[in-house]
Amino acid sequence: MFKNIRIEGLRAIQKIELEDFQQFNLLVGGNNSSKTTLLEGLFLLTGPTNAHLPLKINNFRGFKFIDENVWRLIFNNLNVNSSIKISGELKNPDQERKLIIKPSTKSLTHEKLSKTSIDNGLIEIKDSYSESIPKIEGLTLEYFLKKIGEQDFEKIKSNISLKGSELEFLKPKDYKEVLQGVFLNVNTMSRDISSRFSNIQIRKQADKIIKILQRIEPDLINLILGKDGIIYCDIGLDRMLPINIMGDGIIRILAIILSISDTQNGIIFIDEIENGLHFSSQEIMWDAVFSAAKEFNVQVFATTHSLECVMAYEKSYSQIQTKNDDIRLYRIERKKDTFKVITYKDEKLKASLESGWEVR
Amino acid sequence: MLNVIRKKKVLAVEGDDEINFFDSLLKYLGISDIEIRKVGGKDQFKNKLPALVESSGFFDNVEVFAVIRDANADANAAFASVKNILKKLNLNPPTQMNKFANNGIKLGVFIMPGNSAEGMLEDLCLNTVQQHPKMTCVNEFIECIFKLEDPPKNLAKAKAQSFLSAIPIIANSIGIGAKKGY
Repeated sequence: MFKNIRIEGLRAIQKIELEDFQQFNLLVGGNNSSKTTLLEGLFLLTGPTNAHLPLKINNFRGFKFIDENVWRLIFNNLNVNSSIKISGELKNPDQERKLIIKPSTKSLTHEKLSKTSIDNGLIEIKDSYSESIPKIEGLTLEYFLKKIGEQDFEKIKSNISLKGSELEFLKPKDYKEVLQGVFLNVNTMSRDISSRFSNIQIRKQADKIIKILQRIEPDLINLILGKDGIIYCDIGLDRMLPINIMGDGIIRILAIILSISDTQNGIIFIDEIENGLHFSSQEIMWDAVFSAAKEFNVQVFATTHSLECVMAYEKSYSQIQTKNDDIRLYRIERKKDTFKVITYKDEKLKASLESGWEVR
Repeated sequence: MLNVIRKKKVLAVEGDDEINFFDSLLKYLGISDIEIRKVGGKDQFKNKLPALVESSGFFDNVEVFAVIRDANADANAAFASVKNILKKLNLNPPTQMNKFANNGIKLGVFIMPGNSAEGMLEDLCLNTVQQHPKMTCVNEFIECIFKLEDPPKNLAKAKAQSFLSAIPIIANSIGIGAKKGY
């Protein structure tokens, strides 16, 4: 579980620090306040030796091709002369992680040639300097890991580069990542729903999912995965119904809780968690998220723009009997290149909402 | 839609009655550029004062911020309590009550009824009507009531309400009384 994070140089973020993360963390803030970038930073630090991830976070934003410019997109102001630094502490496992992402460049030296005329005669002038144009062919990920309390960091390096039309990876040997992270957004939300359900079935945990969904759909008796890859639900009729006809809301909630369940002991990042949900379903969604995340021991980071979503977050949490001060809301305020983070514990969030004061 | 702070001057008060009172006072004085926000009674200050200070728009807009609280039994303790909350919010509270300090945001903590006296806003109001002819009746009534069993627990509130019961159109609190122009 992440306890804190510090990000420098990632997309629009020059520098930002967030502390006191709990099991449930909701990020709010105006448009362009870099909420999604924060999720991406946390996601990168979850898999810091996986050189696919920088490409994946671009892919989540709709960049489905790779060329030299795509590498630049993750750097602050597209400036590849700077590097991206992400660091944070974790609990269970108790670790300190640092990740530095640099472009891997190949310098091309050009001699500048120009022509001019002196005394009606043409001469060629060769500039006294040569200009280096860095050509980015990929990224280098330098990962530093140490257990809390230890002195020295272990350094692990990985690399991704585009060689011709092929992506080449340099994977670290003898390192196995212990953290599992899943990033969901409007494009990826339902993508792996069938395979995730299949995993849950193999682990004999489908009954736990059904129990959680029964709070939303009390008639639900069973869920099965059809040969066609569609999830069918038994609601007591003669035939099972494909989940697809149950409405967007239940599919989204199912997608979220399947992702949580399939990320046991890991971390889930959900961008615009309220997307596609009617306001009246948002409390149900949070009930499901709280239940699933507690059941499968998953830390949740989510972003939202919606007031109803924030209110449902607080209301749903306030109805949990065994509370443990484990929700936070973070408002990210951005003024040009400066970021300010306002942290809300449950009591302050509740007081703000009761008083009708804006928290977003 | 929730409320975003829009004005440059904000007054934080305890309850609805204080909102009514100060709203009427400011209108009477012709002041319209102050936003009044309720932060609940003294027990709610711990959560609601930070919630107000950290609500959207506060740091962007607010230049002058005043907190008004009743002294109750101890004005110094009330001042210290508010000062402590403000310090935790990285604000620089004034060293003296009832005076503004100018450390970034102009910030003041005003403890009612003032002059480090114990009591509340009602005491301040009663001070202003001490010479009012109706106060003779009020004092006699209160004196009589306090001789009986189970007298009112709050002398200032009892006196203020007795006074307000003696005005032509009865008001049941100082805030309503202020709104009605008394």
